[in-house]
Amino acid sequence: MMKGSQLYKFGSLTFVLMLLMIFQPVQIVNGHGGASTSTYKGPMLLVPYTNSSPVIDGKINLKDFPEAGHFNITGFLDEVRISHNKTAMFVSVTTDGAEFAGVGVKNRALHKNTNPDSLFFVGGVNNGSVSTVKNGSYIQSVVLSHSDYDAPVVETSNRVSFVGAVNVVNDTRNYEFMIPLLPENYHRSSGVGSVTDILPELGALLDLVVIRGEGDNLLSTVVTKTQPIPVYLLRVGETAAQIEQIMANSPSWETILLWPSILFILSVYFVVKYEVVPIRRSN
Amino acid sequence: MDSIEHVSDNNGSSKWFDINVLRYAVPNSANSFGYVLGSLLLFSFLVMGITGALLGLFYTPNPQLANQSVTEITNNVFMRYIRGVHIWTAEIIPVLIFLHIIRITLTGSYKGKRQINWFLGIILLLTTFTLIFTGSVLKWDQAGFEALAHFEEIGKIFAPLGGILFTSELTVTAPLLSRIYLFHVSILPMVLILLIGAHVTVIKLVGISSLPKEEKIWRQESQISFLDHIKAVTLYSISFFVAISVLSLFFPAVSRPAPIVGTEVSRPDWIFLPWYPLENIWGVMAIVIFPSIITFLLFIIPLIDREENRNPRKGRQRIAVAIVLFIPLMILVLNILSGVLKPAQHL
Repeated sequence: MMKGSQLYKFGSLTFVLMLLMIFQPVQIVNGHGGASTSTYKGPMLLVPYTNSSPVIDGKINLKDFPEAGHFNITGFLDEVRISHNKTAMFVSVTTDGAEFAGVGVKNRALHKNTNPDSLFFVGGVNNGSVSTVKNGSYIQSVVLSHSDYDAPVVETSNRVSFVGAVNVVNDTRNYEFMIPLLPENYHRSSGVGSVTDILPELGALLDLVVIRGEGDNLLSTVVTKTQPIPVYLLRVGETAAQIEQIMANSPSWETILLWPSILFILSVYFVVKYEVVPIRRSN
Repeated sequence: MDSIEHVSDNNGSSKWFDINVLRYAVPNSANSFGYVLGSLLLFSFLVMGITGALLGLFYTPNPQLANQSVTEITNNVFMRYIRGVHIWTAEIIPVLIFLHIIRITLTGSYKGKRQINWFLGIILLLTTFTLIFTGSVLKWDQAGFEALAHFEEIGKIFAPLGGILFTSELTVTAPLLSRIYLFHVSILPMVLILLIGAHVTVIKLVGISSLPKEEKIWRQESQISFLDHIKAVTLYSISFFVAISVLSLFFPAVSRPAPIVGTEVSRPDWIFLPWYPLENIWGVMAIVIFPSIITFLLFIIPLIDREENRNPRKGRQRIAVAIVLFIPLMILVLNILSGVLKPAQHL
């Protein structure tokens, strides 16, 4: 049995340890570290394809979704990996979508020691004017990417599968999606149309739609006219494993197994300890 | 109450408390891990109460602001730690409860005078799970929102039996979330405190259970006192708290985005995960059927086994042992199933 003095020493040591842990540097609490644009390691919100989501003629107005959340997050694409042979579309529907996509892609490219000058982004529709931005500085809102595992979401110009753009009308906050162009090797649409017009055509190509937006309901609505493409709304800093997990649409196994396994193992321990089953002991 | 009383010392002066009243003999097994689980649970509830009160200073039970307030809490380093302790303790409490139940069953400690404590324990179990459930709703993320949607569906089915209390249809003046908050921070804790008080009182009256093989001899051979038991429990509790703190700091609490109305995409926390595959079979009624089966099975244990013999390998205690050992196995299997089966819409 522990003596009282030992208990006090143990308690004092514990208290000091507790203080150290509580007031440790914040970055340890935040964990992970990594790229400056992705220090946040928050959870994800899954927004599935659903028939029950409202569709407003292919246009989505945030005013119709008062419960919509707001995400002031920039850049997560540098963390995103897509499984081999999977095709994904990344969409940002925020006013800072350029920063979101551009910074993320740029950082990712730099991380891969890719010369940013070789990056070629097509996209950017701002108030009706199409712009082409190079050097990874900006991409307005949407990146459509066909990517190999562990490859940048958008790779160098000769390997970019397709890049598109959507429009963000800042003034009215009426997010009407327009797909002004697509690469020639896929399908080229011209003019202005809603994303629901283009998604059915892309549906066969896409395995995953990753959305980042201010309106949580937003893109679950967008795909209602398409094939049942899984749509996910991500926050910054999602890891490859998480992406693959949501693509499999399954909770993590550690979540499923941790405590039930501990409970089961300790139950077995009790069964042995309290001699529920006769244990033949040597000697 | 013999532990807190006025005791005169040799000088005739009065002391409000004499430590010697705690030096009565208890079974040697009282300090083993299996026998301190109840005390650890008591400590866990204390931790939950303190951390919950701190969280309550910053939480807003308003659907428009709840998620934001959770985010604000999580953004603060110290409050993130407090929330982490609250969440991790809530995760571990069900494990401690089931282990407590299993230990009691294996050692036949539910028999005789302790029968009443078994039934009190079952009500404590249900109250605790309701507390964990209401807590999981309060964070007001997608999982919490969907949990409440399921719960409200059951409330509608049982509306004439009082289920309407847990639906939005009761009133338009108070959101359901604030009612859940009321239950979580006020009504349920009060019930819990009363039940724990009764539970502990019965233990005090009938004494701490011993190992079956020591039942008739421990009073003569006991080498530890209740005070030693308190010290051991303190040590276990400190260790437990350190472990929880480490978990909270290295796997900190996170805030998830606000829920989306009209979607059903999340899966519940591990303790409610066994419901998930069962809902594929029974629909939302699984929320009622599953715990009812578990409660019924636990309830009948002392009724089936009225034998005085305390041997898990003999008599009707074998049935009790089979029932309680079925629980962790079932949780494990159902949780694995929930990961394997395709997700389905239950609402």
